[in-house]
Amino acid sequence: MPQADQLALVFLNGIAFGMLLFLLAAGLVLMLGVMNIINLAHGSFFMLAGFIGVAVGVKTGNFALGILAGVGAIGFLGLVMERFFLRRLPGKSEQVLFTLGCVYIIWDLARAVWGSSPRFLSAPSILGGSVAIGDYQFPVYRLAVILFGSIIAIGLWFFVERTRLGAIVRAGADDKEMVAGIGIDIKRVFAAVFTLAAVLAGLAGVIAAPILTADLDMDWLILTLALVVMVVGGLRTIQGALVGSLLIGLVDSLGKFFFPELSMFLIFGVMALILAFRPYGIVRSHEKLGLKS
Amino acid sequence: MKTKLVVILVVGVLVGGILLAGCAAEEEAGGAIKIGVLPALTGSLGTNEEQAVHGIKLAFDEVNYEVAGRKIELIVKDVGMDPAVCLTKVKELKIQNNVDLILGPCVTSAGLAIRDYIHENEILTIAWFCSSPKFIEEKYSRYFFRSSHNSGHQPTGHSAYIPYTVNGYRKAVCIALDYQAGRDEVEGFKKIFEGLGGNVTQEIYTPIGTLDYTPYVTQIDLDADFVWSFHWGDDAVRFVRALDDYGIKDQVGLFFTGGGTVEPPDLWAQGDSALGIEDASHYSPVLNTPENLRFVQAIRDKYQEEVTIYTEHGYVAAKMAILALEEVEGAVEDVDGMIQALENLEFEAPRGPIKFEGLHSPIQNIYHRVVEKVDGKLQNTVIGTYTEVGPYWMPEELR
Amino acid sequence: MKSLGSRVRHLRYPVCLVAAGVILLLVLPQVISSYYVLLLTEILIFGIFALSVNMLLGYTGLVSLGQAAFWGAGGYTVALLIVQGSVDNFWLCIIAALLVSAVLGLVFGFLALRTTGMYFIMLTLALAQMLWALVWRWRSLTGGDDGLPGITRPDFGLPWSLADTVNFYYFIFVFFAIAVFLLYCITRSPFGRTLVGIRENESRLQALGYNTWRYKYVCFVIAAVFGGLAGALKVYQDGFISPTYLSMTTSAIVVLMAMIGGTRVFAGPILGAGAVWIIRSIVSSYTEYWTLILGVLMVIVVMFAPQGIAGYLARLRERYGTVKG
Repeated sequence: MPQADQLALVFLNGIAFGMLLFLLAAGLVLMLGVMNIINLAHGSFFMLAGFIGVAVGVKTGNFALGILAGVGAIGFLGLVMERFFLRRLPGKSEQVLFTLGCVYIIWDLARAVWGSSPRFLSAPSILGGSVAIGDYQFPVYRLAVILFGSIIAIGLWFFVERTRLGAIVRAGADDKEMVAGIGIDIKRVFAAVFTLAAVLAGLAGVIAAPILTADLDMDWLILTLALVVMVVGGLRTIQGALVGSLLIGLVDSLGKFFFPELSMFLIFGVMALILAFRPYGIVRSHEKLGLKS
Repeated sequence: MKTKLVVILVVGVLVGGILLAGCAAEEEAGGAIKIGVLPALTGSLGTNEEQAVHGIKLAFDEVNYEVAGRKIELIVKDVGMDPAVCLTKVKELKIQNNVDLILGPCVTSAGLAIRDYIHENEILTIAWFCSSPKFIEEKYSRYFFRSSHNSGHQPTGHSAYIPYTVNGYRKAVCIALDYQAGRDEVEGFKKIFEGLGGNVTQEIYTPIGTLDYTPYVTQIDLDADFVWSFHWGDDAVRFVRALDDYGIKDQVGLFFTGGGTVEPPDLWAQGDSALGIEDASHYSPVLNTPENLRFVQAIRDKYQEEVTIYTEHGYVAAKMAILALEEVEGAVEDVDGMIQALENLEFEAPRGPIKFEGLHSPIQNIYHRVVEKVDGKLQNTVIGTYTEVGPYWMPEELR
Repeated sequence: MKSLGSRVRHLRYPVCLVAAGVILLLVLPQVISSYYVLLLTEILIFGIFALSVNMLLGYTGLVSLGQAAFWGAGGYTVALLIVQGSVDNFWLCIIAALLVSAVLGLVFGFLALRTTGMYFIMLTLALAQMLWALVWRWRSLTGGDDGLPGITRPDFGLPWSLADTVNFYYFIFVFFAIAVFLLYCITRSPFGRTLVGIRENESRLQALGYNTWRYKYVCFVIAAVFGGLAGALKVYQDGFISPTYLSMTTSAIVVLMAMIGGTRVFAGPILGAGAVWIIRSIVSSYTEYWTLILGVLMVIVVMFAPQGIAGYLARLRERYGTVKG
């Protein structure tokens, strides 16, 4: 019979993990839902940011510097990718091939620099320590991740739904010509959005390092989860990404607790159920799945 | 007209290249002994495999790449994580390079994939892991040796025996990676621990690559005396940190099995979370014997890195080959002679005295270790020694 | 209206090329070392696999990152029958592999084709991952991560043992030729042309009354069956199977083969299989960074030769070849 403190731990952990997934999924929503770009290297962004963040954070002893370094590097990488490559690749399969190539390149370079052993970064000391929950301790850092994720979520939602810039981005997704017609450089907007998505992935990567460690297997693992989140939450909205992430985070955490041997099956099972009964994702946005392919 | 020329040119170059490469004899002058090495350098074991190769190269360096007047040539082929590629590389080594002997591979699935080929082609193979019992049971081959241990029995037996007899633990929670080796290990642990009179109250299996261990460690029954685990790599790091993060470490004892969870280099990523964790293993990089101290320093000097179990396994595998070659006076073609030499081999390895006998798997010491911090560095300090432990060791009470 | 003469002349070029290729493939094993024959055999097998993937990718415009599911399904069917079921009959194993792949294709296709675009890509990936996880976990049946070794080459009681590398090569060549022929016929048929229509403009075809979903579904199953055939042959080649057959990397590499070779030319994937396999085998002998090289190659191909090697050669031909008329 599971005790209350065990359940509380597992529940909170699911939320924290969900927040990490949200940062990743939000980026994918921006890239795919808004810009209609397929980026298989999104998980690689996460992984690379983790490595860079750990390297800088451990070297300087400063967690914030680690975040800056990771986010900066990935943001730059995203900018370069979009500006010089993705912009010239209109087709779906070309984007797949290119970003897949990037996955391989990033992976091998990371392996060359950091090797295959896992790398760890400690949480910053202000967020160190833990809170007692029953017989257990719950790290303050994970609570901080929940808080941070929520702030980002609210910020992103506000940006996309309530600001003029966000409206332009949304409009550009639906009708490029019209936006260009009213004199806005849609190319700049897209470059900015892609970079933002990359930055979010990078942020997630560094923040995740104290919880998940940085290592070479991360890229596909985290991408698969983020993609499941997208199916569940719906492709088009930040709200959907949030709902999906939290749901998957909880399913993962609670699922592993109650049915330890099912884990990945459970997550894919949820995805299959959603596809069977609500193919538009949980949060409706009145768009048929992947119509814009 | 031009395009036809281009096409003919391209095809011609391709074909010519293949023909040239295919027909070219790869024979080397003067009977050098050719040894193929099969590390998995690309993949999640990459760094560890590099360490194994360093260990191998050190051994050959120590004899100046020469035995009984014959030169030794190492041919290293990366096999990645795909057993099919490993088999192809073995065939390449045999057909293209005409190797006399093979060192490797590491992973059990790769070893199983090549086993039939090396057996049928009578290629002497010394693996530096492949610790599955299958290699000395249903997949036994007289041409196959290994320098590692026997999963599920050695040092697993002692990881059950020591907590019971020395620590006085009676209730255990087992948590292991969910794959064949993990299951073998738990089974082996239970056999000894329950045989002695202990009780395993929980068995938890975690999928390889689990990102977050919270739901697993929170399941652990805190009434138990100790937690026993078999993990390695990123999983070991996340698992041990989770035990510490959630305060479980303060509530139960931790005694793991060796060659696993708190082994360097994972140990170094675990940091202080690993302090105080005990385990049973057949080696420790800080083992205080003259041979080990010499070995550790030699690796430091040559490669500026710290020794891990992979380095040691690679070194021992190479040493086995060298000593056997010395025994047959360099006649590596005398496979039967080599096999006999290996079966009779006894020497002082960095891990202590080692021999192989008929099963081709090490009979060696097992050490009771505990993680301590010395001079700011984490290490597995040896606090107990058990000698002459064979691949199927059982405590006296159960024989 | 082209005159008969010019039509024959136009045909002459590709026919010559094909004939040259066939002769090369038949003669080469006699002159090169058995290791290279081994590589060539694998290239042929991957060629079938890449062609199957290209039915979806090049002809229908569907990017599937889960084709390893069928390669693995075909392979495991053969392996399980031989190792667990002690079935000796080669034809039984192959037919079973084809059937299992077909059924799997029917199921996965039905689920995956409920979506398009990015979702389709992901769903195919996820379905293949689920199968991988299932095979990995079901240790008692599949041997889990250890795999199932000990699969011997079929024995037809012929004087030529298939255990010999060169003999086995010719054996595979027969299957390769048949598969290529069948797939070629499919692509040249009205069905094949409809697929291209779907790739170019699906909504227009729908407006014309075509049930495009059904075409995509049939294509998916065809790809599954040929993928399963290739996987089954690979198991005989290797002599064992392990869950790597079902991994993401396998799915990715075969897509890569199709794209590097050229998705718009029928024989492209075969060239791609050759190129990628040669790079992988030979480059990996010299450097650990062949993954990096592969990635760079993918980027170069997509940026400068998006139609792949075959597509590039075809364009060269167009530019220079028609001068003489």
